[in-house]
Amino acid sequence: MKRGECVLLFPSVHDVMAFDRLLRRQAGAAGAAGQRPRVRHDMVPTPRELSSDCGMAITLPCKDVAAAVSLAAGRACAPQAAYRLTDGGFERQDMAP
Amino acid sequence: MIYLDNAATTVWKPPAVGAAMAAFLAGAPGSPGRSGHRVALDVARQIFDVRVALAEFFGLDDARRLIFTRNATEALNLALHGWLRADDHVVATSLEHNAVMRPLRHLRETRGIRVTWVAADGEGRLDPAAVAAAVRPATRLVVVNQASNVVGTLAPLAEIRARIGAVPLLVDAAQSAGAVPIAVEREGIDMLAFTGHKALHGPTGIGGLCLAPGIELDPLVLGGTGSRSESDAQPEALPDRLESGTPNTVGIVGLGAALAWRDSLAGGTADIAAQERALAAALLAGLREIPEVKLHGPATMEARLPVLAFNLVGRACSDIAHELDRQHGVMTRPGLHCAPRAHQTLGTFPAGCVRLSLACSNREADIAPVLSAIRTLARQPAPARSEAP
Repeated sequence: MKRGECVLLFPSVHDVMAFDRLLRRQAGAAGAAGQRPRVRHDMVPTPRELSSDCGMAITLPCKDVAAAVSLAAGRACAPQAAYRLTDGGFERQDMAP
Repeated sequence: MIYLDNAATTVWKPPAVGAAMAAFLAGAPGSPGRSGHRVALDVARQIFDVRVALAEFFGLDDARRLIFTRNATEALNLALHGWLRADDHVVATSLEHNAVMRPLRHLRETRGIRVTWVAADGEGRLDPAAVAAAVRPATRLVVVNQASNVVGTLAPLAEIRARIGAVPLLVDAAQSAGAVPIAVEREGIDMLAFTGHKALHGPTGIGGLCLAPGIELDPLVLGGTGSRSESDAQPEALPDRLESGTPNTVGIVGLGAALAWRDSLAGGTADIAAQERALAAALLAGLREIPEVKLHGPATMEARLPVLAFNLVGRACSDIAHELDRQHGVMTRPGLHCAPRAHQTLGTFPAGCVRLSLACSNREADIAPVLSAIRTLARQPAPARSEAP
């Protein structure tokens, strides 16, 4: 994980997978339409400094957090929290658009 | 060889099931959710996909509420042990399998629960009014076997649901999952236990429990979930809370392939069921023509899975099944079928009976040889050790 990136935390691996599928489908739809994906993400082990219910997490550029979370609006797989990796460690990141 | 023991397990599996399992094992069968590397991610995605597909198949909106278990027995134990508290009252039917009867007895002895058994009639039909009449203010659960594993009769689930008010309903779908369409939430089912290796035509060792919204259970097994490793407290989130330990990944992959096979059929579950019922009807009609055959269960195939039960007058059911196998290559199951109370209801306890259970792998060409074999046996002198059932 790089400084400036954000990590999204979830209550279970199932939720990570559900969120990952949402983002991949969005990326697929964007690709089919000749557009760039709205959000580029990765799945990683949950950073040890962060306490999470789940051992896996999703990383993405912090500028894309709000867009990614909006994709999950009204769905069960919304992330519990977002953190930004800074020089001083992880800082809580607002997920609101 | 004619296999008529499909209620025990279906031996025919879609070729895609074995192929998917072999490919999984030959590939990289990693541990899902325990690491972030690509192998673990790939397996976690596969399990996610099967869980979502199964939830959709069973009419469950939130796939997190589909809990993988080893089989229906473990799912029923999870439901009963996880839901019932001291002094709770339970209504169950006389058609229950030992997978329900034994946990209920254990919980009666250890937690002081009370159980009212509602008797089906001599054909294995349940009266919804009788189930409703057994409900008391302290009733915390009604347990219904959706399809008798002895005579195949289908329980009137909709009528029972309509008559028991808000009392949670646990359905044992060991025989019915894959044999009849099921919509857990729409049908008002609170918990549904299923197995993968019978009418779903998946592998053994994988099943599950569907939980409707609002049903929260204590875990049957506690341990590692790949989450919150710093804590010795069981996580709260589903499915992790109820799925400790490395899951049967290859079994889940196989069950997913079985579900995909079903989806590839134009008529799905309904067409499979119609085909099986037609074969069973032909078998039933032929059995009725053999004077020595005593049939058990309903006289028709209405509201019934393709499961028939019979005895030959003057012969032990174990001898009949043995001779059918050794002389005629017809595989059946004799005895009490892990359902002693059901046999008491049907009047076949303790002698038991021979069960003939069909599946979509059976063919019309199977029926005549089976009838011929039973007719031949019926006309042979009974061995000296046989006892009349």
